[in-house]
Amino acid sequence: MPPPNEREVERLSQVALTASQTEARRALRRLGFKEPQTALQGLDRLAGEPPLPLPVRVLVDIAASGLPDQALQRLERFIDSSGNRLSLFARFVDDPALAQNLVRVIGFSHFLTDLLVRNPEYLYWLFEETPYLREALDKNDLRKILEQDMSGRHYSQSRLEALRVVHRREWLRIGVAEVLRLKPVAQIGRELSALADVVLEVVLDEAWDELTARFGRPRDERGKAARFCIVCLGKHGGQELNYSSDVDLLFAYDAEGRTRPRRKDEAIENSEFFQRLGERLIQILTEITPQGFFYRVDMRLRPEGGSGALVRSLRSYWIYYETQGELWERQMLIKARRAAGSQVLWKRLHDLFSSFSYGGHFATRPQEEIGRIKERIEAEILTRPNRDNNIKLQAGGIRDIEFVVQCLQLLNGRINPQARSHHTLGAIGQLLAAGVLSRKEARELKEGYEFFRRLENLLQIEGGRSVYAVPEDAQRQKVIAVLMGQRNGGAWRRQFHKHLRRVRAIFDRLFYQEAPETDELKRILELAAGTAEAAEILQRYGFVDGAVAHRNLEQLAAMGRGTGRENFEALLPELIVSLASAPDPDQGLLQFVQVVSAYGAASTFYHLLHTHAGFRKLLISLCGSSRFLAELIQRDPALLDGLVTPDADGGALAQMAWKGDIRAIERLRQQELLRLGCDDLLGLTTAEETFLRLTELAEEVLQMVFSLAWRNVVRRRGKPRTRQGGEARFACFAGGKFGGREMDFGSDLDLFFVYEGEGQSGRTGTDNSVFFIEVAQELIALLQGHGLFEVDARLRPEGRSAPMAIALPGYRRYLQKRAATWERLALSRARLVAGDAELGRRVMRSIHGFVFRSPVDKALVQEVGDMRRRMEPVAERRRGRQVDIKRGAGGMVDVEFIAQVMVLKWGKDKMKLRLTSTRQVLEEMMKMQLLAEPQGRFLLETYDLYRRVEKGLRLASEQAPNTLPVDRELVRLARRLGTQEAGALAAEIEQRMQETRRLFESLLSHLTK
Amino acid sequence: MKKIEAYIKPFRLDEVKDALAEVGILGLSVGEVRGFGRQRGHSELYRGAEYKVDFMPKIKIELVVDDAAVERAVEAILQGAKTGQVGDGKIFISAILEAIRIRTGETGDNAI
Repeated sequence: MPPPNEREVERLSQVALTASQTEARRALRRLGFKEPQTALQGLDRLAGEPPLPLPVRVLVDIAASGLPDQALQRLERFIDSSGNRLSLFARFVDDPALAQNLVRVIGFSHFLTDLLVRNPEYLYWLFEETPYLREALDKNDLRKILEQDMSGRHYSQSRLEALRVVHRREWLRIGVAEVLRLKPVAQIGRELSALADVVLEVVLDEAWDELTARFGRPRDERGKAARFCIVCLGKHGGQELNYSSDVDLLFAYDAEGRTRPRRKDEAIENSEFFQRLGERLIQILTEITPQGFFYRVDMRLRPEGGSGALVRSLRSYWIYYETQGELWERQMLIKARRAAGSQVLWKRLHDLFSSFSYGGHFATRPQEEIGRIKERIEAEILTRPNRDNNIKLQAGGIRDIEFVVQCLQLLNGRINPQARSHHTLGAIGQLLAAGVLSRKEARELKEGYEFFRRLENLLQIEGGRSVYAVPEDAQRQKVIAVLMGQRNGGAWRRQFHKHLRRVRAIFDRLFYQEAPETDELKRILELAAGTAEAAEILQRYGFVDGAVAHRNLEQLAAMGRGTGRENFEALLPELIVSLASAPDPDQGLLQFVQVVSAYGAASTFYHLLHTHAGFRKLLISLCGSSRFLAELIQRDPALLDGLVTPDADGGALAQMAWKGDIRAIERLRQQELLRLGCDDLLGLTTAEETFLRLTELAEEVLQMVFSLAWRNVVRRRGKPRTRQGGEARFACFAGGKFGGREMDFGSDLDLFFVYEGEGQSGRTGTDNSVFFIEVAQELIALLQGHGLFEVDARLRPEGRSAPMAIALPGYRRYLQKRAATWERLALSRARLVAGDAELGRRVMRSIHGFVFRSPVDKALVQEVGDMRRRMEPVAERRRGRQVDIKRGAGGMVDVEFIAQVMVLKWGKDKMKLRLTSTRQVLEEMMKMQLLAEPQGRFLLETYDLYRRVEKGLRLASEQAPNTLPVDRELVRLARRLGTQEAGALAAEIEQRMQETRRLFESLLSHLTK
Repeated sequence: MKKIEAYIKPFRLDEVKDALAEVGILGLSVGEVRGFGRQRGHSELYRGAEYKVDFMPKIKIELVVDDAAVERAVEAILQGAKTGQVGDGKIFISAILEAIRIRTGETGDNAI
């Protein structure tokens, strides 16, 4: 028989209340009662004496509740307790909605029924007095309500009693709002959390008063009041508390010291005071009284779990998290929030927690670690019955959503502080805004979360217990379905499984990714040293000498003691696979061994490499491509710290360096050299950017050393004065690659110095000419003596034998009278790099006057050609094997000379062409159509190739010559450049050198036509 | 008696051991630690963020000394561990209530 329709239900209800017993029983059965006889007896009792039957409308509601037998029984209990059957029935008739809501609430939840039976007057309070059944209620509203109820109560016991009353009443209100779906699930969580906060505040006040009355107030060593704070975690921390869940708490205080009681002998240590306070708090919260209890308290999230101290000082938390904090604790602290106690202390705790959660280092890849935690949880619940029905823990359930969200927060919260919400739904929204979650993912997580949380709350409201099992019988499913707005049990089940599936898919995408297949490599360490098999395997991976590589690997394994060996084994496949693709695997492995042994703490170091893909890639490509950079680290392992934790020193090093601390300057240079070398190796910067950054670094270092040298000489000689008593000026100029802003690793600095103002220094009467020569010498000595840069000072007038610094008038005379033609070329790249700007401008005007003095004529071109040939290496002129890509015919210098002669030719009129960089000159010439596009392109490409080759060679070794290597070294160079095979590279270079020389000759000869 | 715990850079361990040996302190326990470093300043994105890590391995050394030797030991650790750079590490000192040598039952300074 199909279920009766609406009109039929009403008719049947009428019959059940008024007809003969047999007919009534039949009607009740049709209305869904399982035990019509019991129901009939109940109805008769309710009708009572004088007989007044239950209003028909109410029986209709009972029939609609899904479980009519229990609804009727509970209604009877409620009506009995209310004591006034007649007026209640009258109310039901006047206000059908009141009756309907009441039946829904008690028909579903025996817990809420019990609350109402104990205080029947709450029915009117709920539905007629308080506005907060429907309106949102916050912590402040709650506090006001509580103050009213507690006013006039001065004794602790009576105040706590009042609190218990309010707590139960609010619990009823929130439960009813959830059953009747009057508020969004997030709001329900906020109100439950606010209620817990307020309870904790009052309980803390009471316990505090109680303890301070006896022991006095806790003070720090200077007599200031010590503070206390209750931190809540988990769902409570996230303001998304369940209807019936535990509260997870931490207790903290801020200062050691003693209490100051009235009776001196009662004074105790702060640690003891707060320990007692914590114990007392838990006692009050969990104590079972006739009114029930407040909360179950879970303190196991504290440091060292159940065996740790119940209460800790801020400092103790700090030390614990600093040294022993684990990933799950970082995840857990995302949710930390102040529940009660000192705001000031909370601020400091919050700083600590968020720097721990978001500032820290991942011991393993977070996805991996969290995936592991998750697997553990799943394995654990496998042993429990009904595992598939646990909405909290089952695959795709609430825990999965929280894991996904928290994992993404850990990963992104550092860069996106707004993603650090302790609230799950809030965090989902922020992760969406930050572009971490897609719109679809965010929607699916949000909908799933709301669905599961509502279900969870309903299950817990039903019996007032913390249950997570999803109902299995169809009747209860139907009841839940209706409360959750679904048509019937089937529709609800489909929804439920859809959410599980969607969440699980997102979880799997995030936490499970495949690892590469490298079984063969894992066996390597089990093979005895010197076995051919090990050597063969390693040779297959690109090592030339497999036996040596095997020994090196064994040495690495031996360096990690205990767990270090395991960590190394975990790292091993990645290490070998990455080294195999390096230009020189053998050298790379050797450098790697040396870096690890120089750094120390091998075990942890392996772990770090295994878990940080970026760091691993960096270190392996550094060892495999640049012996020069690897050796920097071996000499000073602290450089590695500076490289990978660059913000750690907050600019302190640069400050020291600018103050003239030569050790700091050295380290700053090495640090920066390493950093830009690594960026270059990893392809994070283009070659041109690298050259520019190298030049900027050189400028910075030069300026630091320049001020230092100046100060040193002033200290010895006093300040240099002109005869008129003004300050003499001094400036430092660069030429060559430094002037052209195209320095390479290992480039030297072409420098010369000019001063202005004859006179002597104040204290010692040293002549200015001597003074400035000393400054220049001091500067060069510092640069060279501390291994900062080699200096080439041959650009100065008269070259090698002349004094290091010259006065401006003398320099002008030199440029006008005696300077050679080659100096016009060289000085076309000159620029001021340190010292007096005003003097710099004047010197540069004189230099430009000289450089652009006369037109480019046949004689000049002739001279440039001769000069160029004189520079060519002797071996090559004898057709030796070595190809010098810098000075060899058609090499880098050809391109530079072309650019410089062009600048001399056109720069006099075209200020835009007065550039010092070879590349920029060529580009500008093409733009101005002074150089044909195909020729210009060819020269640029060739120049770039030469420079890339040069950089590749210098990265391997800073002092590398500019000759193209042969054989295996050529192969390694080609791999380092990563563009082509060794043979093709050599052939291309040779061809380009021939073509460049041809262009050099034809362009120069055309210039004078 | 005091317990001294120091967190230092791994590559300064030998210097620290030598410096302690010079002032006559030979017994110490050494372990690797990982944890987290305090975050400083703003964490701007810069080139190289690709290989940035937040914490490098540290070594923890632990020694128990009588009160008279505390200052000496701390001086030695400072001297050995200091590179002058930020991140050289930290030293924690705490009071030890009692020490007992299991074999002989000796207590106090005699047991360390």
